[in-house]
Amino acid sequence: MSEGIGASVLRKEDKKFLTGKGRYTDDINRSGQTHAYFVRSDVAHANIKSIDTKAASAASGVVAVYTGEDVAADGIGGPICGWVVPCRDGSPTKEPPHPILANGKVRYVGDHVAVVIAETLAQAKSAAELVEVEFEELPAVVDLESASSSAEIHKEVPDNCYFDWELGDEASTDKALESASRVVKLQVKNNRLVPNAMEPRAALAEYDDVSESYTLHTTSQNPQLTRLVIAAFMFQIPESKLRVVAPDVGGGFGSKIYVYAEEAVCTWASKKINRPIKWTADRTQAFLSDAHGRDHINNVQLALDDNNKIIGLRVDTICNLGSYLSAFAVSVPTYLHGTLLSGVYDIPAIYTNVKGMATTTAPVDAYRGAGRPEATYLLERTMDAAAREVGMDPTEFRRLNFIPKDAFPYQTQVALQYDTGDYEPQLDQAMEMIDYKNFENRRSEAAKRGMYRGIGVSTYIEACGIAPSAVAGALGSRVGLYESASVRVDPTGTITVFTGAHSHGQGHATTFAQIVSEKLGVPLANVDLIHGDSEKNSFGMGTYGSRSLAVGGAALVKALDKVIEKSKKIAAHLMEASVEDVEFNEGKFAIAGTDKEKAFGEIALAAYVPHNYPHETLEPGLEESAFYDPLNFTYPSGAHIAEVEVDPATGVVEVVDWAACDDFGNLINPMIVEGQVHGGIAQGIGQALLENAHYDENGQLLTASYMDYCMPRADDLPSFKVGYTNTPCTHNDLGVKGCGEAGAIASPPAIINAVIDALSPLGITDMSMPATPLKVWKAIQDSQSVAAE
Amino acid sequence: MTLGQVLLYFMLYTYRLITVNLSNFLTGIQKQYLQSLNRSSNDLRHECSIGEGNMGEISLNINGKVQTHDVGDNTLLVDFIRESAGLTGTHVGCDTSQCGACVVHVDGVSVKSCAMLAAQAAGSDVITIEGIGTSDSLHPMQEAFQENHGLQCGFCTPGMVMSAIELVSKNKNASEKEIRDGLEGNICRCTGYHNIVKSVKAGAEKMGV
Ligand code: FES
Ligand code: FES
Repeated sequence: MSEGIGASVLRKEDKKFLTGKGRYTDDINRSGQTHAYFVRSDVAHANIKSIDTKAASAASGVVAVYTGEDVAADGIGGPICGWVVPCRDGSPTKEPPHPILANGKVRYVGDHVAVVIAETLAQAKSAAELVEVEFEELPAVVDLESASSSAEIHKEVPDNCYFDWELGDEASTDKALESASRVVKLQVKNNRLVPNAMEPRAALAEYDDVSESYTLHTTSQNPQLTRLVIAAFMFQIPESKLRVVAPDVGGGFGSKIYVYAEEAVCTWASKKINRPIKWTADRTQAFLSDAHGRDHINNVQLALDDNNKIIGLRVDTICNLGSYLSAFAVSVPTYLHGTLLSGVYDIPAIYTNVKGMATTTAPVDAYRGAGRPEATYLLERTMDAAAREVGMDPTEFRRLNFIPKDAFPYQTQVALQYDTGDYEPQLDQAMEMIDYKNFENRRSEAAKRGMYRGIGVSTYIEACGIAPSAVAGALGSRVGLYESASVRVDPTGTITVFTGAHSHGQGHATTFAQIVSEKLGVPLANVDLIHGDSEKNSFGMGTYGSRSLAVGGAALVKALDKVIEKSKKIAAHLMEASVEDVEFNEGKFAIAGTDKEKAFGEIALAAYVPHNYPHETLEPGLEESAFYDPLNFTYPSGAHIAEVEVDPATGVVEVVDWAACDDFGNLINPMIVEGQVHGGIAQGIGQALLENAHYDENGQLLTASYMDYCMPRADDLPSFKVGYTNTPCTHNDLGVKGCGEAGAIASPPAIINAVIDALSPLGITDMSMPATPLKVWKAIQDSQSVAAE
Repeated sequence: MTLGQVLLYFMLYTYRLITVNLSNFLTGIQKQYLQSLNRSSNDLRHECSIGEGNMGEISLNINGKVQTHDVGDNTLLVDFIRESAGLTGTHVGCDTSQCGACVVHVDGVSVKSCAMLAAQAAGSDVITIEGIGTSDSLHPMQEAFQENHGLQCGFCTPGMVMSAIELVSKNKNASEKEIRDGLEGNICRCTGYHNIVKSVKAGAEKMGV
């Protein structure tokens, strides 16, 4: 069986995880290690009058207690914003300081007030209870819609508005709305979520006083970026004096992109006490202080002409970005959201305004899909509402408005240019998979059992592998968005690949090895992957935004091409032929028209034992690197169809069937891709039916454990039918588009559309997320009392 | 149905772990202990970190090897396994005994090791993920997880595999629904469970139970 591109080979990394040999940050210990525990604010918004650490410092086992004053005294800065946008009035994004230990003020429940470092975790926790903090409480700011007129959170952020941004042509859009024969209006809310990677965040920080350098093991999706931010921006030390390692990481989903206070505090303090410091979040701390996701309110107006063709779209959004601006918080509702508003539809006029608000809740940033799920949700909900209003089948209404396949490359009205796509076949295939045409029979059969059955469609597009760097920079990104790869060939022909991407479940060790196997014709077993260590890997941007393969994989191909190019020169020399005549196929260099050939391993040996070697023109050795900066985003798209049954007695929504047909371009490992789709759909179903991060009016997070925050479990979900179409990406060598976020982007509107469809016999036309049993049951009761009146 | 009934149903639905999970995964001793104290394992964990009382040495047989270590009177079994015995394959994913990342077998029964005191397990035979197979010779359930891509980040995997082994040993012909219900106490954020369910079915066949 082939082990190369397109083969569903089993994962190389599985055995270590299956036998308990995975090495996550909390599994690593150092001799002389101390333990940190953070004193957190239990109020949402307050001035700190005083902090008394005397009793805590004197408690048994305590090594040190630090507060914001100590951090400030050492000149340690806070994490920085990685992306900013200009406001409508020309002013910049407001960037308030974000101290790693609160300095004078706390701004959310869970904000870091002090750190206690002790010999054991138990001692650190006990002593933390002795830290006395006197707060002068200020009003909490929780409600998004009234945030602008609520108490000031940062003096640098007037009206609690970080930015007020726009994209598109307001005049032409408003004109379309005025001239429309019908305007469909809808307000949707995108519920706030907690990413909940199963491995809680953790850090192990060490300082070596001889080399005067730090080592930080941390739960990061992008360790090199973490190193850059902590060293250069927060500590202002030479970057080479900090090594950041992200060993095995138990899921991220966006939440492990950013530099967090805890890892920075532990690193800083490891020098002060000159001992290793370990910190691991418990789940409650994770709920309180991991960056949350989503939390938008979108007001949508869709203009239709007489033929039910869309002629304009206006979306006014306010989004909750929480107490501080997290690293990519600004990009999520703007360039990852506003730019996606054309969806898979041909829309001649689009305008969007987004206000990013401060509240006294945890910072909000990217969570699987990041901006694209919010765009897809509002658009796909509106498409169904419009289809209902004009009396069309939702699939037919979508078809009517799809971008036709001969229109690519397609320039949207919101900055993006889609390179390829073909949306009708995706919808056809998904409809076939779920047997759409016979749905009404299933609805009637369910009705006989007293159940409401519904079907819901979502046809989405996403933009992955944000690029090119120059464009991202022009749009406000402060980082580049290329990726690095190095290929080290050993003398015997085995290979080590170094990538700047980071795998925390995605299976890079397998997928990247498959690319090498395909290109060089070597067995998969001979290829190893090194990632996640700033000491070993070249600078790279890490893994998020479905970018690893589309950007990192493409960088790997570039490095492999260099290896092949050099190998050909060596082969030509060895076989006394000219380079132009050397052909490389399935691991063998052959001279065209002769029976001369050399295996890849022989070339490798010649490169490292260069006794017969073209020294005049070639250096010995076989090791090549490449950096790849993409020419464009990639545009995966697809159609997801959900079928649900609602029990009117309990309001429970059961997902009974699911069909997904996605276009990710070429697939390297279909087994891994399918797993990514499953996981994404599950998170989307979680958002649509179960999950909600809820703050009360005092800013207390009421859903801070698995008792209160309903995670999707095995018995909440169906098995999924997954299929593909393929229009290869035109601008990377692999023709790949990325698949990590698709499921989470596509699925929430499919579910809610299905729930509304199920309840449509009752006259129900709206349902908010999460559609919990109570909410659904109440909607049914209300509709019946309306009917009775 | 009255609103009251619906509210009750809703509470049971969202908080169903309290009922289903505990009955699935806590041993009789654990239940008795928790009931007698009328507190959750969350409290136990908290106390564990606060308490200072020393129980002295206890011995457990973990994966066929006797492990004797000093414990506090509130040291959790999971901390004994991870910290004292150094077996870090057993994970901690929550503080309310709900995620199942910490599942091990104690005297043949699957147990959430964050919901049991080390002292309660004194003298018991404990099997962790490290004790069921090796990379040269995987347990059939481990094999099935690899062959069916039943894991991504691997963090939930040890607990999932330990739960799955018990599930299929009790019910060798478990249907998809029974597998889904049976794994309800193990949270996975990565896989969407589709391939885990497939793995467990395949594992049951391989185990020939
Ligand atoms: S750590 Fe034991 S159930 Fe979560
Ligand atoms: S594989 Fe990551 S949590 Fe299950």
